[in-house]
Amino acid sequence: MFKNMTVGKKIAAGFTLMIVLAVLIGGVGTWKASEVEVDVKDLNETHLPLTLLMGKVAETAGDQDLAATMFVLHGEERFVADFNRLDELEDGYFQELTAHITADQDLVSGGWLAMIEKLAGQHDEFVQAAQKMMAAARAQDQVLIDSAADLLEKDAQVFKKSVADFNDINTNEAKAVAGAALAASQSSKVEMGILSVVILLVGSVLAYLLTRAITKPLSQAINDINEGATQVAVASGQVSSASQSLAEGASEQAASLEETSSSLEELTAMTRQNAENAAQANVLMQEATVVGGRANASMAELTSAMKEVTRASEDTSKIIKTIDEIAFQTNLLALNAAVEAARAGEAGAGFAVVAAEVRNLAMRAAEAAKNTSNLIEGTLKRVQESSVLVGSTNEAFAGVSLSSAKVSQLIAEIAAASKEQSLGVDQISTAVTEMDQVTQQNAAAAEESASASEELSSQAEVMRDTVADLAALIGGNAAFLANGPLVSSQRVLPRRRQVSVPRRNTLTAQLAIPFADDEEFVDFQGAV
Amino acid sequence: MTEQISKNRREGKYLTFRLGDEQYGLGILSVKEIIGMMPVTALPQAPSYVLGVINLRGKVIPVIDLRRKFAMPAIVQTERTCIIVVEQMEPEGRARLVGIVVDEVSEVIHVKAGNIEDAPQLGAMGESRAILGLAKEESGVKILLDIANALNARDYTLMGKAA
Repeated sequence: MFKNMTVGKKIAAGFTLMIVLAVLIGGVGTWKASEVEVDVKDLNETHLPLTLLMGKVAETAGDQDLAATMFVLHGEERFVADFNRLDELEDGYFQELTAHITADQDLVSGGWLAMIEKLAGQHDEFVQAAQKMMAAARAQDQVLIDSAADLLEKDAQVFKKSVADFNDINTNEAKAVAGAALAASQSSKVEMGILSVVILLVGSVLAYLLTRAITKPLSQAINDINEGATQVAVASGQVSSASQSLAEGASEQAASLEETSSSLEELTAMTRQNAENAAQANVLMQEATVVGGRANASMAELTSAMKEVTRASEDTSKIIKTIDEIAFQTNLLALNAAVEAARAGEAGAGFAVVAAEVRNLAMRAAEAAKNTSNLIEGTLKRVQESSVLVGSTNEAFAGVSLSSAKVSQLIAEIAAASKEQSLGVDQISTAVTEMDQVTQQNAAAAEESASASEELSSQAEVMRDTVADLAALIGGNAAFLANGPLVSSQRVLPRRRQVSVPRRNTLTAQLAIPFADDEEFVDFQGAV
Repeated sequence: MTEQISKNRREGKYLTFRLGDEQYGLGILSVKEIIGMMPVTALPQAPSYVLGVINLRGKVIPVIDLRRKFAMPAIVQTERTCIIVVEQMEPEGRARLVGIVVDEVSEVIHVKAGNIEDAPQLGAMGESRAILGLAKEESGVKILLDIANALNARDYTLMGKAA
């Protein structure tokens, strides 16, 4: 419960407790002092004046006795006057005594007023006896004087005795009152001492607890803040190195962009060259197409010519066949004739010769027809082969034509692709320019980042100082003191790097990207 | 002496023809005439080597496929295929005409007796009796047929029936 309270509440609670205790001790002291005061006041205002007055009463009574005696002895009237004056004085004293006693109700109830009245009565008897003695003296009656003197002496004794008794009572009462006061003051002293010790103990405990309750979380907080400051310093170092690598990256990027730019120029030139070549190739292909068309026509003519040859050969072949048949028939006839001639014997000898000759002619005719047939067959075969060749040539030409058409199409596509490529290269150029700007922005951002990390570092320093102040305020923390040098040593290194590195990098980037018209860059350079 | 006479008897003119790869010779006197191939009317229940009959100028004569008769593989007829009409003297002394189909008719040659040799006696008697002899000519050996023996008696009966 105590731990969960806020520091303010803790302090308030502690002080409240202390105030309560102080009020208690004050109250007790005041109470005791008032008790003593009552007693002392009683002594001062009642018993001491009573004693004093009683002394004065006794003295005045003695003086009256003396004055009466002196009148008796000397007979001078001034003693009577003295006596009367003293009597009045005595009356005044009695009145004062009565007033004093009347002021204290306890005394009134204690029968003190009665004692005073009794004393006053005794004093009156004493005064009467003295006046009786002085009257006797004035009458110069010695006997009467003596009896009056005896009476006076007796009354004086009684009066003195009463005064002494009163004084004893008063003294005893005063002693009692003083003793009570002393006892009260002593008990007050003891109580006050005990209470003081209690307050001391409670106050010490409270002070310890409060101090602990305030300093412990505060120390923890300081430690945490200190740790935070350390981490901030480390982080600012990391930010610094990151901005360094960012700047390096920006410079490398810038160099790459330059290379890319030159490569793009080459690419553009190549693309243009490609487009031109494609156009030339297109023209050539068109010519080739025309030539192919002509070749096609020639091939068609050739084919028809060869068909003619074939047909003529076939016609010739038919004729030859007829001739061959005729030769065969002639041969048969010659053979029949030979058979007939042989059957005829000697008579057919001449006929046999003729038949043989006819047969020879037939054979020759057949032979010639066969040769011619072979020749024509060969011709036909060759024509057929040629026809096949022409067919394949035709196909080849058709293939060439198709290929040239495809080539034309491809070239057209290449031309279109080159055009698109050109557009693409333009877009890439734009993109490279934009990338260039981005690189500039990156460099600027790296610089800003570096300065921000520097700022961060100084803020960490300020925080650390504040923490040190705070630590000093709560009275030196061992943990903080242990952390302190670590923080400062870690913090100084990245800060130094922050200052030097971005400048070098921005200069590199500037060298790598010398854009004269970049106003921002000039500002950026000036800022460095 | 008889052999010599026999040899002398074999000398004479022969009509040669081709059957397969071989050249055969027929005694010129047994040949009636040579005709080109003509439509043959097939006969039912005839032996396989009898192609049928033809009408030769109003005369119906039987036609023998000599390839089948000699157990040679049949071939498709060509324009060279001919029918040789042979005149066969029957035992009754009556002349009979028979057509034999050959692959090609060659020529009429005169074979000298010195160029004729007997066929070697290897196979069955009937077969060897069909061969008159072997003529050794410059163009090659020609088998001289005894056509009467070549077409056996049963054939003649059959032919007679057909006629």
